[in-house]
Amino acid sequence: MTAALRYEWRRLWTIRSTYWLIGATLVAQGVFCFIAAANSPSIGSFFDAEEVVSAIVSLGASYGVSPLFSAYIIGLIGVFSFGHEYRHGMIRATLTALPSRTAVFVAKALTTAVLAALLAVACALIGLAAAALYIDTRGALTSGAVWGVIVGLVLFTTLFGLCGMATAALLRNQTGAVAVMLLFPSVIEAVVRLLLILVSRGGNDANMLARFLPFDAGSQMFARPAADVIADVLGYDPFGAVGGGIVLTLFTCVLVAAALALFLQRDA
Amino acid sequence: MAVIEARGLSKAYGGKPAVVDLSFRVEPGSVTGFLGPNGSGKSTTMRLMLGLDNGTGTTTFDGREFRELDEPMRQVGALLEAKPFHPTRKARNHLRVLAAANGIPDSRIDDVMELVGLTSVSRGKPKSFSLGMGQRLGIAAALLGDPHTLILDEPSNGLDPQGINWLRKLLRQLASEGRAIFVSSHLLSEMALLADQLVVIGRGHLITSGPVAEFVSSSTRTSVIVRSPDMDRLAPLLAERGGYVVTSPDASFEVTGLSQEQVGDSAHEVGARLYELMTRSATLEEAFLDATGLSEEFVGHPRDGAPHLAPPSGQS
Repeated sequence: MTAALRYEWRRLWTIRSTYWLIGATLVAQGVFCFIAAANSPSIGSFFDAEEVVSAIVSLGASYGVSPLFSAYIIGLIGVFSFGHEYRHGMIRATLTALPSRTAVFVAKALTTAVLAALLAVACALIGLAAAALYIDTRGALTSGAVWGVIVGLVLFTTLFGLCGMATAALLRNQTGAVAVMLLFPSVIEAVVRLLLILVSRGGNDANMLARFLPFDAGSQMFARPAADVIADVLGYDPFGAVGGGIVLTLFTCVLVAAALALFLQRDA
Repeated sequence: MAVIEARGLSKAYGGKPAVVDLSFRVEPGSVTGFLGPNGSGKSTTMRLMLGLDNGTGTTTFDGREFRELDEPMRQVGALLEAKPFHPTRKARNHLRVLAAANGIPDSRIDDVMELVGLTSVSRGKPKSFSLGMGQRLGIAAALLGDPHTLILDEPSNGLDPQGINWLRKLLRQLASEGRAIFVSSHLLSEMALLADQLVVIGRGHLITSGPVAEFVSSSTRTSVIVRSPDMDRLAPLLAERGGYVVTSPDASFEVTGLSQEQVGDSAHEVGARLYELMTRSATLEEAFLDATGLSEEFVGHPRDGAPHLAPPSGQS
């Protein structure tokens, strides 16, 4: 296992894409956070400090007005961990250097998860710094509510990265995996949710199914609009942070398990 | 000293057999050539040996399967395809990644880069490499762990004549150091110069294995050339003893199915004078074509008659 981790760690830091993905994530987060913080609404009766800080840190994702931008870029690191193996015919060289497929897979999962989590924390800290610089945070920087959002988005990003890795391993196609990871959470889930709401015509059955859309459910870990607002606007009642987190975690576990099973079984 | 022992290797794709119950040995201290027509299952066999494809049968390296080896690159070096590397990862870094998995010091990377003649481009990106340079980098990766066994699939692909000559000398030298070298190639003239032993397959089945000289001499195209004014007496006896006699354009006779000694003894028995008696050995290519003639997976057919050419424009 140590050998596989050494291999994966060096593999990660000897390709340019790792650097530009990390750079792009941090630069984009910095630019957007500072723009958001500089133009944030005044804190008062309508928005409290914790809501504004959370929105800056998550670039609006905590209010459900945008997807968690940084997760999409960081997720590519997960996709590339297996995508490069298949796109460039590296997988056979990898497995002749490391015959244990389980070790190769686990090493990729661990490095993807750790890197995604660290980057998500870095993004959150950038958001906090921007908030501290431009707004009167009134103690929100250390509040449990804001840090609850941060923990949620770190977990979401980590699971997103693992889903990217598993998707690339399942498809054995980097381009296909990138397309799936960009389209499924942001477009396909939204369309499916809308269809379920329309089909249900006010009933509960289809609405219940919509709660299990994995990335939408997972986003409840950092999304903080009142549940009744969502129910009114979208016509369904999502799980809370814990329930949504469990749905995305289970989905990720199933995806990763399926990817591992096929990786062990398929020809390289 | 490593012995490769493959036993009962089999693999099918969608019900179509690609490798069928293949067993052979590769001895240390020799270069064993792996021959077969296109699509005969050579690459699949090599992947099966290394556990990259799922099939049946086992391959052991000094009694242990590949997946059981600790730091496998120190024991078995493999080159399975052209350009198996990320196009923008520097050549040296490509080897550093592989070295990290096998506890190989970075100093060894400089050694193998020099060995394959890529020192000057070791910090270059492989996307700018020619096929031959890519092959050299693949060979460097195979040699990285200084392994006692090498498995190389078409290593001379893309190499220029100087490169092929360099590779031949390198593999001969490695074999002379006691390593087991198992190498596939479709360049039969090259294999004739390189290999001591052969494993020949066709449509996934073992056709033969053994020393190159034995394989060539067993070919029906190995014949005895006879020039004698007394062939009217000699030819019937040769035919009676299982020989097949045909007249050559230069009025000599070519006898197949009998050895030079048997022809000479027969001539002595019937009192035939011999002006010339020599063995004409088949080439490896002829022997290979003999052995695999019915095992070709992909066969081209010449068009019947003369090619039809459209008349130049303006003519009818």
